[in-house]
Amino acid sequence: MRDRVQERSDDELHAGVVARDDSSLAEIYDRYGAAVFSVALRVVGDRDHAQDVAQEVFLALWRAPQNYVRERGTLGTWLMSAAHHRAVDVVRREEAVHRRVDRAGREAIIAERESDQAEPVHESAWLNWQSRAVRAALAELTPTQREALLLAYYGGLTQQEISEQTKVPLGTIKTRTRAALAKLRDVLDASAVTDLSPRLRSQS
Amino acid sequence: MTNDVTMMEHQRIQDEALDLVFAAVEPADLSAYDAHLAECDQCREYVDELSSLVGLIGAVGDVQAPPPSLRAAILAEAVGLSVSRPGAQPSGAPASRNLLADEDVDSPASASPFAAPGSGERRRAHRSRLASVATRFMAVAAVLALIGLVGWGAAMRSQRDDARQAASQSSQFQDAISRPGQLTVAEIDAVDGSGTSRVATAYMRDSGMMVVADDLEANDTSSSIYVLWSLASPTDRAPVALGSFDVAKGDLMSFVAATGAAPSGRWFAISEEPGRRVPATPTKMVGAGEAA
Repeated sequence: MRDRVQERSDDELHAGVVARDDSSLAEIYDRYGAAVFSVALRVVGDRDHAQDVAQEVFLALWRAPQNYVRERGTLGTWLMSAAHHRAVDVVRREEAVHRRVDRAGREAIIAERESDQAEPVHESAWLNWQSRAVRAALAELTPTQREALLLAYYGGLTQQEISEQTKVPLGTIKTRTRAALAKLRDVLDASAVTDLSPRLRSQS
Repeated sequence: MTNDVTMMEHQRIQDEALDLVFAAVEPADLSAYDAHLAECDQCREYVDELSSLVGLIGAVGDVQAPPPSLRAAILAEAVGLSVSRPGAQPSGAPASRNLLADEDVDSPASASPFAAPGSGERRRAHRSRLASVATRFMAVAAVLALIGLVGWGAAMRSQRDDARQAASQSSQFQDAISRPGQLTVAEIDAVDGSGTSRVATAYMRDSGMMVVADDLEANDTSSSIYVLWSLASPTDRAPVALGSFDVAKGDLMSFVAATGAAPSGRWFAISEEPGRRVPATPTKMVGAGEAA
């Protein structure tokens, strides 16, 4: 449609990276760079560190592309998962060296800077759709499930730490988190987020 | 080989998998997991599935564009040109190098996405980590508010009904969108001459239609209704009403009650109608757009 060149699938792009084709890496970045950067930004809270994380994620894919295995999920999900892990690690490292400033204060600064610098990305139907789908899925959780899930995700807290903070028994916290993930899986099952993406992409 | 030792390992791994997929395992403890996961398909599949769901959580919220320099920096580094990105960590900082080193091809631990970057120097005292838990706990409250999903405490309870409503819709949406068959997506832009502001996106297939309202006001469900129309062309004087829907405050999406009429073309429009009936012709056009 329109003047668009035939888009390559994620699998084709991944194969390109395996074959050391840097244009494939560029295309993967164009597809998922904003998502990866955004995940990192929400966890680390500042743009410089978020850039570092995003850079590491894509260069790690470039240097060891075989670490992504298609059967285990989509490339986008895998990249976002990697971004999350690295971002959590950055936050902890910062804490360990006592350089962490008050988060709320920092967020206010970031919000200000973002309104100046960052343009929200609208062109990706897949990202917009996925964001909506996940938001809808999270809304479907009970408040306690959601709390457990987001404390683990954004807080980087262990199940034990969440238990201590919320004064809820460890077993209950684990049950909630597992139930929350199971519910997410049911709502976002492959058909919605995985299979829909190429279709939406090819039509947008 | 299945013996008592590995059975206990399965249980332990699966019991602690949540910490693993949320990146909350101490780097020093990771090697034990990785050793088991490298050999055990069952546990690896379990952990992989959890991990991919955790990856999806990141998709919530607005997507921010990274600075353009990031793309160039990544590509330059990939092809072996070392270029400093503006604002990057000084090269002495424990930033990218160690993280990348862990991704080397011959490192068995890096075969899983949860392989902790840079295990050695980042090992930290457990006590100092616990001391900062309260800080992170508070930070999460800020994030929750930021993404607008939940309030905290009382606000959370008051949103429970909204969440239930969204839940019911979400299941239907899932059901509607995941069926086989051709999916048509049309972005509906405002027609009030204000340029190209998006008011809604319509998703249509034989089995159902729904509208995601980007900027449609909630309608008064006792006296008005929205109608989705199909047009043969932008100037079509005889649009076909495909169905009607309501937009409630806080809704993520609206399901279109179909009239049963088939689309007459690739153009779609939304009108707001007084009363609760679908008229023969639109009264007040809100937006229109061509299917992608």
